Amino acid sequence: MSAPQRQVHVAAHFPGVNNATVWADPASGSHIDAESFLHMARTAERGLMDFFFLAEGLRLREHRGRIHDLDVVGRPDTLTILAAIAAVTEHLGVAGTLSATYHEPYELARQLATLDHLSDGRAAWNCVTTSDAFTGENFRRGGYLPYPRRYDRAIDFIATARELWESWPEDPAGAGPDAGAYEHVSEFFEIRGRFSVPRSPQVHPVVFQAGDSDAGRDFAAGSADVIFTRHAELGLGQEFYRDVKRRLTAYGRGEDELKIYPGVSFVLGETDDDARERARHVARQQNSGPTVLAFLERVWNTDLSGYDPDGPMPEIDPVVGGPSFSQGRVDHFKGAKERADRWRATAEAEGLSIRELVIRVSADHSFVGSPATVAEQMSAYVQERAADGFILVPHLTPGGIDEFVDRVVPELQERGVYRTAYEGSTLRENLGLPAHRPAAQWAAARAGAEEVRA
Amino acid sequence: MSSTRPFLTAVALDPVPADRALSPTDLLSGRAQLGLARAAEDAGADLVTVADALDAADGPGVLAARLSALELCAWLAPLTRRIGLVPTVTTTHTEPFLLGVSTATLDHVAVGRAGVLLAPSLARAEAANVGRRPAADPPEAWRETGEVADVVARLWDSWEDGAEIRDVATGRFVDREKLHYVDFAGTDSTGVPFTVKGPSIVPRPPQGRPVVVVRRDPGTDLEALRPAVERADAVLVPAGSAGADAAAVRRWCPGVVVLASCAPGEVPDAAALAEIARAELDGVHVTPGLAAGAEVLRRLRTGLDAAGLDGLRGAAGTLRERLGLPGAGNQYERS
Repeated sequence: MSAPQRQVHVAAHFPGVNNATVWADPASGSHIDAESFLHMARTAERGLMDFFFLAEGLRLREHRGRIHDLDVVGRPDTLTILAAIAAVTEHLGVAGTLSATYHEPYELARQLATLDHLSDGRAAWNCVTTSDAFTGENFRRGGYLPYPRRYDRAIDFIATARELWESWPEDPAGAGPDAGAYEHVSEFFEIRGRFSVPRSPQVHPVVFQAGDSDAGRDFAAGSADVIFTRHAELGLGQEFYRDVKRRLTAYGRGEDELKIYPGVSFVLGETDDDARERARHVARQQNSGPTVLAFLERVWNTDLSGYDPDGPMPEIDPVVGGPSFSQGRVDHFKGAKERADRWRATAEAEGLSIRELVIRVSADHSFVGSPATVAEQMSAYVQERAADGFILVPHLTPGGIDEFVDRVVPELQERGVYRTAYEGSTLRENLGLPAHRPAAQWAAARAGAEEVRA
Repeated sequence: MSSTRPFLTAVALDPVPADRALSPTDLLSGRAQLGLARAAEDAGADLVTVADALDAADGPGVLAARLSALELCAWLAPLTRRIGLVPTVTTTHTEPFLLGVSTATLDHVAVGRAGVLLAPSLARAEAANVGRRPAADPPEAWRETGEVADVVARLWDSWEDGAEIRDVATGRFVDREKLHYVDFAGTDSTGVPFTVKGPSIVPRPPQGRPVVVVRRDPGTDLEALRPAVERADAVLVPAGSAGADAAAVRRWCPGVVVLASCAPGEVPDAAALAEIARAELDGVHVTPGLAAGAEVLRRLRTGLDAAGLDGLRGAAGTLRERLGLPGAGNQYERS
């Protein structure tokens, strides 16, 4: 008898404010009307997905010192939308990014606990850090946190939130006048008093961590329930999966206690050929002439607006040093000169224009194929332990996951690798996570792991 | 006495001591508040308010709980259709930028029915919970509340109507000439200067500007509230001093809507309602409790009818329209 198949989990990410989101298509709807968010959430729940995911914006992006106007601009407040979605869904988790740098523990912990109550136990928090002074200009304290300290504050922030979340007794009806009393004094926070929200259904909302670096992996192993990671080819995905799960041992955690969810894009078609053709069309929509020049400018760090996007690559070299051309986004362009040389060599060897080259290096969709092919590929990632689930990042609002729910979900179910009903009542249960682990246990495990490292 | 001027009704979705009989689950899941919000909407009330502070409340057991008011109102938004939603948001410790984007988003999810009750955190306990700075003197905290109202209005205005253009020919999603840095510079309630750059991340809310409400609690100095009142659309004043308070706040802010706020559990009868109307108030704000709310609304209807007041009308439209407020202008729009 063979081992039972691992179950594929899927979640839905609302399209973001980068060029992966296509706004020029006739099917592209509003990025701000409540109905767009509610539609996608209802569709995700119809598709029995784990959760709806919404990112956070704290400053509009800039390019060459001006507001970047080529991508979708503007987005709603995370918690406000998630609370509205909780009202119109029954099983779907509501997950959102909230920065540990520009929120404060007491306020954010009570907002998340409120969301967990209102959703009957479906709240999740993707804890990220924001280290740049650019974002700080929208906040009273400005850019105050040195880059190397960003995770230290985030870890302390999560630990504080966990203490607040469990500060009330299990039965609030019989609570005395000191219910919710707490004190947290650390390098980053000195707070004391009474927490205002009694224990919520999950006690601790589910905590996500996003970030693939070595420090980010340890942060996740020591503080989070889910990692939101980047998609990679199968072998690299397996390596990442093994590495992260291995780190759990040091924190006294089993491998099912931290779930790995890559963010993935997809393009479907009637046949695999049809899907590939559609994927080429989507890639061109995602990469208009002005968009590909702006993309190269982020590497070259200089004005390239005079170049023809359908012509050859720039011969000039990137400008190294100096203020960054692009603000407000996470960039991964290190070693600009080497990168430019590599791209120029590829373009020359294959006769690619600027636009074709940019599409080649940046617009690779994770899963492209017929519904059956995509279901097979996604299942393979889970069976072969490169992922526990996926966060779908569609390219259209609000209908971007409709076709996936209608066509891929039934294929997954037919293969016996996808739920046919929600198993649990809380998000924690539907993710296959154990009940919350008390704050003191988290703290002791982190202290133990540090001792081993030292 | 008869009047054709609409008489406004606001209902607080806050527990009163009698609500300790409610199950904790009903209180914490929002179902008790939803029940009263729907009863108020069905009765034709104009708006609901939700109290908040950055501390546990004083009540026994679960009545010491305080859910975050803004999230509660966002959750109520898709579950209601016509009634205005006005959460309390604190101005002393909360970041003005976050306040601006969350209230703008509430107006999007409520499709033009949002307001915000701006309230300073005056208690030392709140300062200790946030841990960023000491408690402020009330006059300074109210001055700062006025500044926060200014920042927030700028953030709401920082996206002009029509900023989103989706111009396929040039590849531009927005016309950045219609997005504005707010460049606010002020001084917080502890004397520390601060700036907010902008623009908001949230496109202009449906009402342009959600309704800004300020509340005078009994026993507080009205004069201290002035910087906040001057930037408010509506003010809640204690029923006991309603006439004098209304005259003062209208001197500071002509056209402001003034509601007489009754003590928790207190329901004005026909005579009390008539007196509120004679004192030139625009309406009444009641805190009936979550369990007794629907019954209280029936009594209120009887009282209004007996006093000949045209209230609980269940009008449609945005919250600004229901309150008879003019459309919101935009300080950044060139005419």
